[in-house]
Amino acid sequence: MTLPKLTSPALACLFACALLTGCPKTGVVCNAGLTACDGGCADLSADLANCGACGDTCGTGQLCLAGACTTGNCECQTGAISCGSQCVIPLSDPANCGGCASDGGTACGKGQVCEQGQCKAACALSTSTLCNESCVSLDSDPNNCGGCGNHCLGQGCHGGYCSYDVVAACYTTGEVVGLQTACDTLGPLTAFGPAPFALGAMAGALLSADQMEKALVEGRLSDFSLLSEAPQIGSAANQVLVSDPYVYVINTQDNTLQVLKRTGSPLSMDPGTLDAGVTTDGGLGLMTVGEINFGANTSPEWGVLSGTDLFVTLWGGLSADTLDAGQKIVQVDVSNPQSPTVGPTYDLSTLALAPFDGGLSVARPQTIYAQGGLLYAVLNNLDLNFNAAGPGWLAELNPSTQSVSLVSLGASCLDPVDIAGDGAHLFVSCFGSPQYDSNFVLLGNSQAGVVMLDTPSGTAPTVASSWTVTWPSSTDGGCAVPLPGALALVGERLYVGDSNCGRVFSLDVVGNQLVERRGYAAVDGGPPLQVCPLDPTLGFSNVASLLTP
Amino acid sequence: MARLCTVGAVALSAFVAKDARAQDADAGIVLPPVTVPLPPAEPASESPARRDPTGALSHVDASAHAGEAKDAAELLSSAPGVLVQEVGGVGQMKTISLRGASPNGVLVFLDGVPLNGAGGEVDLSSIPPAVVDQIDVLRGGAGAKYGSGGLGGAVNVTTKPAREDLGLAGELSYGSFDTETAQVSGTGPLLGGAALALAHVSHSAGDFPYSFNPTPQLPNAVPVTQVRDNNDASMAGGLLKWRRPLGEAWTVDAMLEASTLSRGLAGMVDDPTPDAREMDTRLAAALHVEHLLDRGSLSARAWLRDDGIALSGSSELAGNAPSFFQRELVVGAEAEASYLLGFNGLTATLQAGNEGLAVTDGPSPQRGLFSAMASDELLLLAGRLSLVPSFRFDQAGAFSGVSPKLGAALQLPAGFVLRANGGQAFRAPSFLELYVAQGTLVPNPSLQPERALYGDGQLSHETQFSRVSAGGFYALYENLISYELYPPLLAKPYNFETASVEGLEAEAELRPRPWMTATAAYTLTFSQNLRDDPRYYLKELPYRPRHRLFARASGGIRWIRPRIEVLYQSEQFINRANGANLPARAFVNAGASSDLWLAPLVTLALEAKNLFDTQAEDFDGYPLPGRAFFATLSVAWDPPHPTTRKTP
Repeated sequence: MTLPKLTSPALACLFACALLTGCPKTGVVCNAGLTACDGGCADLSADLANCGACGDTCGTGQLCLAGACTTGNCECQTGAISCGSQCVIPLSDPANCGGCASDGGTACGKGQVCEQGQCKAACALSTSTLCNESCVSLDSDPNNCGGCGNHCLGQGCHGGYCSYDVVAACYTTGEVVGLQTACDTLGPLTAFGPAPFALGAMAGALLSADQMEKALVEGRLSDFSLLSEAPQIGSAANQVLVSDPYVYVINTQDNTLQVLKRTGSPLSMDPGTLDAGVTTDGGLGLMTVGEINFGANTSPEWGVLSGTDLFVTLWGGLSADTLDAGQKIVQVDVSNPQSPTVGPTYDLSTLALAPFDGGLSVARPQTIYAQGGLLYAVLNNLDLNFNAAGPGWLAELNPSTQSVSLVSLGASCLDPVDIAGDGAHLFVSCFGSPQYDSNFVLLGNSQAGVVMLDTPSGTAPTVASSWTVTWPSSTDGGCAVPLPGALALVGERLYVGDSNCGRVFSLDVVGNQLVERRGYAAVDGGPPLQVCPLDPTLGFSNVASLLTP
Repeated sequence: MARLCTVGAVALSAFVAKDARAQDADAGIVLPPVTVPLPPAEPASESPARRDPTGALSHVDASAHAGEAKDAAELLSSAPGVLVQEVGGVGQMKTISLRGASPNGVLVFLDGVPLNGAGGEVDLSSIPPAVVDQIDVLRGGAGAKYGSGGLGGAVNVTTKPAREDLGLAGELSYGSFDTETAQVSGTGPLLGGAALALAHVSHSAGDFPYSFNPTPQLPNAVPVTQVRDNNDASMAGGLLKWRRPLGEAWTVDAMLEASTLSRGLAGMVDDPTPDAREMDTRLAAALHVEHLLDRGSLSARAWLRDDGIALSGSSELAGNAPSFFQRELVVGAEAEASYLLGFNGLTATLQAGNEGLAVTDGPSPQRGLFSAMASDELLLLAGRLSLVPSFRFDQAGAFSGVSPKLGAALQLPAGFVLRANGGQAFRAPSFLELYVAQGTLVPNPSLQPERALYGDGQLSHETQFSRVSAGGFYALYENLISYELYPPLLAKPYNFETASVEGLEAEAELRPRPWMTATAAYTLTFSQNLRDDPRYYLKELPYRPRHRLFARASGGIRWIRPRIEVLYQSEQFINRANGANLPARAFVNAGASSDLWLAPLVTLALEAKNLFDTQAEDFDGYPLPGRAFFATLSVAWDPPHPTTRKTP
């Protein structure tokens, strides 16, 4: 048999094209700021196991700061002052009681202790514990955190556990990162579930409502090492509200309030395990003990505890015909958290929201905060395309009179989203009014920033100060325009998360004014912290939550 | 391989004749003439059997499921490699995935008219079962034969044929959820040729009960039963076909299909959309002329498709405007020449067309379409080895791509046939992905085409009593497009993934007795994300269940023909992190039909779907119907005739 000649031009083209087009790229893709190390992605600037370079490990008692192992910090932690070459805590240091001994403080005599900056014969306060002649609070003393001699390395002490002052959830990239306020230092970016959206702290654990896993991811608050336990939660969990031993989770898509109870012990605080990231605990033993459904299209967003009641905002359905399911605040009796009961509902749809064009304007209550016996819910005030339809408002709810009134946020705030308070003020972040081009590329934003309100007793809050966010005209990464979102208040410092570019701006409360400390205006603190890395494909990064443990 | 198909058809016709005689003897009755299957016609020039003779093919004969209340998607479910996913309810959206490719990576044709719409995917519920005669499924990359979009394969739906013989048929069906259908058709001579006219109408309230747990995280919570609201669907349409030989060597075919579909869009069970509605219209037309040569053929084809989609009643869908309207017009023409030159069966195809979209208060993108294809079918080893290299170039607006392919078929001893294929396919981003904002979905004009490299092998065996095939496949996808959350509440498409999909496919049909048939199709699919950040790297792709099995047994005689089907699907992840999944499920369907009268033929069929009332969903928050019953009465007046199809 004679074989035909293989002269087919199609055959020749086939092989030519197969060679020309090549094979697809494969492998791990690391987010901006991370480096591929041993099959994963490492933050070389702060990772103790990969400090400055893959595999370069810092020794015991060292920190990794700016890619270098170091034993010290840039300056003393919050509550400490520098006395000579040492950072001391003047409230409890017997050698520098009330201040540096060389600068107005006192060196307490033998047998005396230092409590609240005063030398005494013995600790007098019920919150004090004697540790080496220091009367300390084991809840907050970074040198005696949870027990005498437990030193927090590069962290503060919160609730008796070493932890960062602020923990940020990087929703887009699936990480959490700690921020230490005294020096604006960042801990290592740490993978913490694929889509952490809301954070909470409980008994030494960091809790993250993961919207992709539909689980409450648990890890150690000190180093974010994951615990094996991750109880299931509902779809699109928006908030984790901790009231030990209970955790309230608000599942926006499922329209539910889920109540979990801690059945396990608090996490251990073994100093030997603090810095090594070794985890022996399985978790807090969180079990779902209660759940209620608010109804289809209610979209519960946020809740706040006030006495034995939990006040929950209902955002409403996405479409015009389902709006009425929301636009409410519902009062839930949680005197028995295992059996939450829906009580009175407060309608916000009748409020005069003053839409710009006189048309439809939807209240869309988002976060809610309790202060001075009153409740304040931020109202997005959106149109049906989820754009700002009118000025930003707070809804003030007085539970005792069951009355609701509007509080203006002024002309500089559109689409308010988060709220915090310090007893004398309320702080509200304003998402603004983003402008897109025809291809939905974000071009700019307006009326975005933070509003600070005075909350004098007996009268309605009034705007005291506002901060409008600015941004550089261009950036190398292509992400410039900020969308202010999550807030965290630490002392007199306010942190503002950016939902678009993964940054955190910081403001100081100076008297009755907000002063930009880290931002793009001409300020001393420098640019905002790049807390969450940009996703290299998507080009944005959402700081979804800022937790103050 | 077209030659192999012809051999198979001859063998099948011999078997059918034997089958009929045996049944006649066993049952002691006279079979009505119209129930004797006719020898299959030569595949149409646009069918996968003609275009890709070495490809992994499955054939579904709709007439074998007559009266079973199946829609086009259900018919396709019987083929391996196929995954149908739906939002639940008669007339509601159903899409098809082949070999792990997304629905917009599967080309679907109606008599050669491309149905893939502005979003790139095809809603199979828009293909009324009344018009379907047969469906051919080409599994694996179809870019070389069908062009841009055929990453996972291609499906050609062949409508019912025009016939010169006078015939009338009608069918009425009624069942659960107030589902009712009616169709009437007639055939006969017209203008010197054969004609078919068909009209159909259907409606379903879609208000099926489903199990809903309002407190899903609470242990021991008791689910409640709810009823799906705003889930109705109504459809009406018709089909006209005409076919006429022009002399000895010329044939002309014309097809006109029109339909309109109105349906409620129920939304997710947690967040229903009680007022959202969709109205679709479609006009599809094709004209085909073929000239047979001594050693080949020439053919020319032209087509048109005019689609309209109107959405109303929901801001999520319609934005601030009271309604959203989208109209897509696709026109195309193709010329093809085939010629047998020595051992080479050469084919060349040129195709040109235009795709245009108009959207309410939105862009009106247009793009020209052009492609050129050349292939060769080499016969080697005394005709036992068929080697088919092919090459195609496609231009879709600004996007271009090449789709080479090499296929081979080897006839082995004892009736075995080995097929193997390898090549590349690509998909240009769709108009919706590139240009159209629709509710919370926004476009991304900087998207790049998706690409697939693929290979497969299949061993098959066929006898008078059985047909068995088994094989494996591998595909490597690049630049897959997926919608991602885009601040604040939007979703935007991005190219971001490389992924592999590999698996096994097996298909069997057994006829142990002349009156009994058993079929089964199994697919093992294993997908893996090969380029992503550590959260998703090496994880499985969502909505790709690993195991899928379809099995069916049917049989009986004229008075009673029972059947039972099982469709099993393993669990499937619903996101890239593989952290949440939909559980495995199995649906059992059973039914029986009986010929009550012979002339005219009156048949009553009863069908129970999802017999065990399995509660399941294909997408999170979209339940599928539970147990349902349907009755279908069909009448056919069809004078005896030896054959109604002419082999070119």
